[in-house]
Amino acid sequence: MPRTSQADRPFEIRDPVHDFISLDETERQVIDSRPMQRLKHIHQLAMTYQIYPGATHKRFEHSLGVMELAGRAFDVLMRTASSDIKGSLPVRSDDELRYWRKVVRLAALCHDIGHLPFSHAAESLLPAGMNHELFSGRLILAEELCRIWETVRPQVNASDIAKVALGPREYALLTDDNPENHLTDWETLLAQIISNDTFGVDRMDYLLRDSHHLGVAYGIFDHERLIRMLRLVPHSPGGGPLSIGLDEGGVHAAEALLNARYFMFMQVYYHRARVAYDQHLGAFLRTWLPEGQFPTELSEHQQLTDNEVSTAIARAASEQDSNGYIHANAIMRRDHFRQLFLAREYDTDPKHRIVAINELEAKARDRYGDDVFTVEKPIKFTASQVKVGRDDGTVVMFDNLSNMPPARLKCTLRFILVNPKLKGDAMRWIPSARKQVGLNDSD
Amino acid sequence: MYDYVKPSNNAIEKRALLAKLLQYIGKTGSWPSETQLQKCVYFMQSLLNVNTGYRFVLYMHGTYSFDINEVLTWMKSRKEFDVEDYKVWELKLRLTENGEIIAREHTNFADQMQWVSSRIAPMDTTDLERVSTASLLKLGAPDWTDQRIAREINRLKPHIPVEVALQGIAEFEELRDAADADGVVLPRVEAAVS
Repeated sequence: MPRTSQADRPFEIRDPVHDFISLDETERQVIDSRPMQRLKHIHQLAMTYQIYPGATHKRFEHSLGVMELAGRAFDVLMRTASSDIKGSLPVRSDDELRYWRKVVRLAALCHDIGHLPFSHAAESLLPAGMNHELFSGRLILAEELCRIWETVRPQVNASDIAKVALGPREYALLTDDNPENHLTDWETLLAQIISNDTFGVDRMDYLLRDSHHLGVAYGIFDHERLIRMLRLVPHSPGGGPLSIGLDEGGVHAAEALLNARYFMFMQVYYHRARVAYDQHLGAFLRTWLPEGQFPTELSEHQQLTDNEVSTAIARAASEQDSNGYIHANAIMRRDHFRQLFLAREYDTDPKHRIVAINELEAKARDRYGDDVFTVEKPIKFTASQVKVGRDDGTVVMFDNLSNMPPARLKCTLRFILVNPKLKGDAMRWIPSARKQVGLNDSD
Repeated sequence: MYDYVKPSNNAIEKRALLAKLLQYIGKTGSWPSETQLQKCVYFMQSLLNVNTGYRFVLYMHGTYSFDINEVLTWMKSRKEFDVEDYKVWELKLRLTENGEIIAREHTNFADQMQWVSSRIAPMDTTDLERVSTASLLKLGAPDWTDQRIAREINRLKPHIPVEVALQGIAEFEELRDAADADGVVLPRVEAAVS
């Protein structure tokens, strides 16, 4: 039997969510690069490990998982496309299909390489107009990864990877609305595989992975079924661009994903202690970072991981006269601000209730100043733009087939968190304050 | 082009502008889809120089603002509009009583809203895709010839042949001329970044 060379054999990485993740030589080179290795030191869920000790997984393995699912989704979409739809695609040959599959996987692998320390918790400390996606785009187009793109055979175009990784909105920001850099409909479609607001594989992987590591069941759904039911559908009748929709057989799996997302937000991502830690982290970073903001220069950005921030927090927590002592100490000693008030603002609320909550927050800020956080966390759940292809060839909207309660469209969690040293006083104050603004006990 | 200020997507002014526009379009006798509403805002901004604060990119049906979609989600959650029919390809947005109330918060740009309601809103999705894409490229690349723009539109959107793209460019020029003739184009002002 002829021996296969090292270059022919795919590599495999063991993964707790997807069992095995296969990668080729190019993907392995990307994984070995410094920007990717840095993701081994960025927690996926910021300081959620303070509440769920198992939440120690990193952006690195999430990126591998998204790559794996992106390849599977691409295969399903191309395999199940009708002859009419295949005829309208700009890819004609197997070589072209292989090229774009490679681009999609690489884009998925690199989609998060620009993340800041502690992921989303730190994003507000970037200058206006900057976000982690733009860093990801810049890194994809920077020298280290471009050396890899150029040595691959066939060569991959760095801008193709960046377009699919970022999508039209962020790529336009990256390229300053350059008219030569608009995404084609095809590139937009491929970007949706990763970042589609409803069924993107980024969301699928993080729900499953977060659920697994935290030891909760909320984020579990039948992702294998859902991916197998993805379909290319016309975005409007009579031709035109395509979008990613569903076969009718995938509606229940999709509903399960929407439920999973809702439960994970309510129980994990917006857990009151997690919200408090995010605020403490942000407040500490504002004292620690030069001018209270993360650097935007790439080499400086790449030098910062959770390790540097954690070291700084530990040091500040041991020096009472240091600038960030209060918030560093709150993090290190688990002395975070405690929930004083939580309201769930739903779409059916009367206006006076929203006004009353605003007034209560203002009163709390007046009374407690820096010893209180008022935080709003919106949650959006909608799949109403998704199209479903039926067996008879018709296409309908997802909401027409789903039995999901429409009331779960949007919810905002309104937190008031107070310094634990003042919690006793605050708990005595809050009942009369609620009455003054017109909030019932049940509000 | 503009530097965009991005206030909260829950901001009253953002919801009020969209509610007011929905009100104007509703008076023409037909509620718009999100695509039609999006394009009205786009042309108010790009053609008539109304600084709405929204940023547009090229997307599936031409120009698109993800922020408008966000604001519409907020508005739907506050019952400021209803969707008229789930069975059609794109949902029609119908202003509710709550939406009428929020629309009162916006009192500017009546002439511009009236103009896009009568000129842009009645166009169908295919027309809007063609004309808005042509507009984005014409305004973003003023040095390009129409032939080059048409070829680029066909490259970006293969379902739009070059000759149809040229038609879209001509339609955009007609709109531009009509806006000038109707006196609804405001002086162009660059917005400050906050």
